[in-house]
Amino acid sequence: MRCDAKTFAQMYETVYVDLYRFALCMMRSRQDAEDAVSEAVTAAYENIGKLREEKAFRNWIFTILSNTCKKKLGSAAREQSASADAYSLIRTEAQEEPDLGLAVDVRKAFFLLEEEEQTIIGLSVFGGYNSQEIGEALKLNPNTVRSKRSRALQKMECILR
Amino acid sequence: MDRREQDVLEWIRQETEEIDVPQKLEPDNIRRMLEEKEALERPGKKKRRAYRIGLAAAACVAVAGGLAAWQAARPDYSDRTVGPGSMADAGAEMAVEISDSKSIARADSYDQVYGYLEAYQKQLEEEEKRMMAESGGADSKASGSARTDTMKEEIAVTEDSAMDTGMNGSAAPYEMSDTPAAAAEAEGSAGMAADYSETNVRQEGVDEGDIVKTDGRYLYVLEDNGHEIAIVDTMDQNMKKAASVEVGDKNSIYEFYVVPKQKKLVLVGYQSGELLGDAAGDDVYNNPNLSATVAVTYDIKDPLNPVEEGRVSQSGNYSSSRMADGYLYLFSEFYVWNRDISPQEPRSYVPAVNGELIKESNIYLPPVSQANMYEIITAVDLANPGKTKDSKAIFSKGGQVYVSGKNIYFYETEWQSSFLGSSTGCVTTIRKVSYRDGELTARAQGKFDGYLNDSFSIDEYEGNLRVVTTDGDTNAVYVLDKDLEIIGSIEDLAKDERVYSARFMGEIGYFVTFRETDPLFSVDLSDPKKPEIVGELKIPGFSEYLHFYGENQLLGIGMNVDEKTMITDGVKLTMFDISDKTDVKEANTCILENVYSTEVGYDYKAALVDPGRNIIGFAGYTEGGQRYFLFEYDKKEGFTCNMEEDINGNGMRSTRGVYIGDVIYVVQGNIIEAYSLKDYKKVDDLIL
Repeated sequence: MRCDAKTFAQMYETVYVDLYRFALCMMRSRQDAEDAVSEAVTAAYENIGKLREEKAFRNWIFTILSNTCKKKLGSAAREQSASADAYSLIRTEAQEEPDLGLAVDVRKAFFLLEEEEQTIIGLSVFGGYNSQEIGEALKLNPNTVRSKRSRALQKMECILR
Repeated sequence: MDRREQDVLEWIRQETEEIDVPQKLEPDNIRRMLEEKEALERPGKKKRRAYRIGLAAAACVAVAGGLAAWQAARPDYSDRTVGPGSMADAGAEMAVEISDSKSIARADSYDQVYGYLEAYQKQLEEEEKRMMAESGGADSKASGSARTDTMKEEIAVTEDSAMDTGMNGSAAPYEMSDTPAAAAEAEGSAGMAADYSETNVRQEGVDEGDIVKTDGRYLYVLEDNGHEIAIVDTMDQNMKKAASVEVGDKNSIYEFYVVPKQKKLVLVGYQSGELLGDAAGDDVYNNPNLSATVAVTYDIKDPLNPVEEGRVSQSGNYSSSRMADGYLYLFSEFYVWNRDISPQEPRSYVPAVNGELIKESNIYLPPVSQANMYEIITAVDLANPGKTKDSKAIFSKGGQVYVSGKNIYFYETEWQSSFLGSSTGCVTTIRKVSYRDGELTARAQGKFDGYLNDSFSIDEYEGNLRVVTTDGDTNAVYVLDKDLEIIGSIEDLAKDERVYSARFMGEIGYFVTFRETDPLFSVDLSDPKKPEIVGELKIPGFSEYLHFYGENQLLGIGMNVDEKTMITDGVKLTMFDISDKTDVKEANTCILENVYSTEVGYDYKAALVDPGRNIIGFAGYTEGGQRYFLFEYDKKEGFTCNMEEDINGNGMRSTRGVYIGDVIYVVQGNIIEAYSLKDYKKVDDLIL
C-alpha cells in the first residue's frame, strides 16, 4: 500500500503501546526497547509498499519488531561474556538499573525463557495471536508453538508463585 | 491453552498494563521522525539513490529478518509460478519432501541423526537468506485480505478456544489429553464403573493420568502447588486428609494414576537435575539435557502409608502417558535447541532414558529429511517399576499422539504453505508403533492431506484407521489400512468450514464443522473402501465435544452462536438422536446463557459424563465466577439442571467432578466440595 508519514503514524497509533511493551519484555532495558521499536518502525515505513492492506499492519509490524529484537539480542549476546547466565544477569541488572520500566517479576519470568519462547509469549500477550498465527510468523509448526508456549508458561509460573 | 496457561498470560498482561511508552515513541513524534528522514532523502534524485543504497544495507538487518519471516510465512504461490527465475525456484523449494516409504526407518548412527538436525537448521538459515534476497523486490501479496478473513472467523467463534480446541492436549503438560475417548468405550468404562467415576478417557481399557482420581474410598488430589498428592479419606461423608505423597519443592507432578487392582499409585512429573547425573544447579530450565520426566511408582496397599517402589526417568518435557495391562507408557518431548550441539558429543543432541542414551536403532527417523525434536516413548512394567522395559524415540519436528487399544500413532503436520485459506495446505504424516506387554514395535508409516483437529478426529477400528481432516478451506475423511495406505476417502466436504469435533463409533463416524451453522455429518464407514456421508444436520452453534450417551444418543457440549452477530452467547448442550444414521436429529438442547465457556472444549478429562447413572457434569465460567453444573437427560423432559454451585477453589488447573456412591466431589485447586447426588445439597468440604 502507499502511505505517507501521517497515515503511517495513524496506523502506528493503534499498536504502539503493545509494540513497546513487547519490546520491553524482549530487550534488556528501556533504552534498548525504545531503539528496537524505533528501528522496526523505520524498517516498516521503508517497506510499507510491500504491505497490501492496512488490516494486516499489526501482524506485519509485530513480525518486523520481533525480528528486530532478535537481531539486537543476538548482537548483544555476542558482546556478553559467554558464561553470563540469565540469573546473574537479572541480579546485576536489578542492582545497576533500578528503573527497568517493567515489574521485576515479569522481567525475571521472561529471563527464564529461551529467546524463541520469549517471542512466542510476547506475541501471545501483546500481539494477541494464537498458535497458528505465531507459527506463521515464526515459521514454526503450530504444534511446536503450542508445546513451546506451554513449556514457557510453565517456567514463568514458577516466578508467579 | 488451558486455564493455568491463560492465567499466566493474563498475569503478564496485568503486570505490563501500566507501562508508559517513552515520548520519543509517541505517534506524533514518530511521524516527525519519519518526515525528517524523508526530507533527508528528498533533495535530488541522485543523492536520494545513493542514500537509499546505504539505508538498504543498514535496514537489511532489521528488514531482512522481519520480512523474511513475514514472507516465508505467507508464500504467494501464484506470484511465484508466474514470475520465472529464481523466485519460482525458491517457491518450489519451499515444499517439504515427504518420503513414500511405507516403513519406519531406524537410525544407523548418531551421526545420521545429527544430519537431520543440521538439515533443519540449514533450511531455516537458507530461508532467511532467500527472503533477504527477495525482500528487495518481492511483494507479499494478498496476505492482508485473506488473512484478515480468517481472523474474523476466528473471532466469531472465540479466539483461542476455537483455535486450540483439543489440540492443547499434546502441548500442555497438565492435560496431555490429546487422546480423546471413543464414546462408546468411554461410556462402557464409566457406565459400568462399580460405584465411583473414572477419568474420562479416549480409549476403553487404556487409562490416562489425571489430577484427581479415586479408588472408591479415597480421593487422590494433586494439590495446587504441584508438589504433593493429597490422599483424602471420604469415609462417612466426612473428608479427612489422611496422607500425602510429596516430591519436594524443586520437582513437580503433572498427573498420576491410581491402580486399585494392583494397589499402586504412579505419579508422572518433572524432576530437576540430579537424576541425570550431571551437575545441575538451578539452571535446569536452560539446559534441556537436565530436565527430565519421571514416573514414580508407590505401593498403596496401605493408602495411609504410600511406599515408593521405583522410579524411571527420561529426557524432555512430559507430553502424555497411558496405562494398559499393568504397563505405563510414558511420552516426553525432547527438543534439541540449536546452540551447543556438536557431532562429537551425542549427549548434546540424543535423549537419554535413565541416564543412558537411547540406542541408534531405537531412534525412528522422520519421513522428511529434517527434525529438531524427539517424542520419547518408554514402557514400564508396574511389577518392576524401577526399570524401563522398552524405549523408542520418534524423531520429528513436533507432533501429537493418539493411542488406540493396540497402537500408538504419532502424527505430525507438515505445513507446506501458510494458513491463508488457500487450498495448498498441509500434509499430515503418521507413524504407527504397536505396544504390547511393554514392547514397542515400529509398524508402518503413511500420510494424508490436511491436519487433524484433535485426536478425536483419528480412530482405529478393526485394524483400519479413520481420520477426519481439514485442509485449507475444505475437509475430508480418509480410511487407511493397517499399513497406513489410504484405501477409502471422501474429499471436498463442507467447503469454507473446518472440523470442530469428531467422534467415531464402530462403523459410523460423526463430525461437526462450523462456519455459521453447525452441520453434524454422519459418515457410514461400514465399507472402509467406500466411506459415505449419509446424513447432515444443520443447527446453530457448534459442539466442541461429542460423547455417546446411551443407545442412539450423542451428546454435544459446545457453544451457541448468535446467528446475526456471530458471537458466541452461551454454552450449549445438545442431544442428537442418532437412531437413524441417515437422518440425525437434534432431539433436545439447552443453552446456558450466563455461561460463557467450559473447560470441556479443550480438556475432555474435565467432563463427567455417565449415561449409566445419567450424570452430565462440568465446570463453566459465568460472570459470577466458576460454577459446577450437573445435568440429567430424559427424552421427554430434555436436559434438567440438578445442580449449579459456585466453585470456591481457585487453582491453576481445571476443575474435576468425581463421584463415589451418592456423593459428588468437586475439586478445584486445594478445595474439595462434596454434594449429595440425592438432593444436591452440600454435605462437606475440605481445604487441603
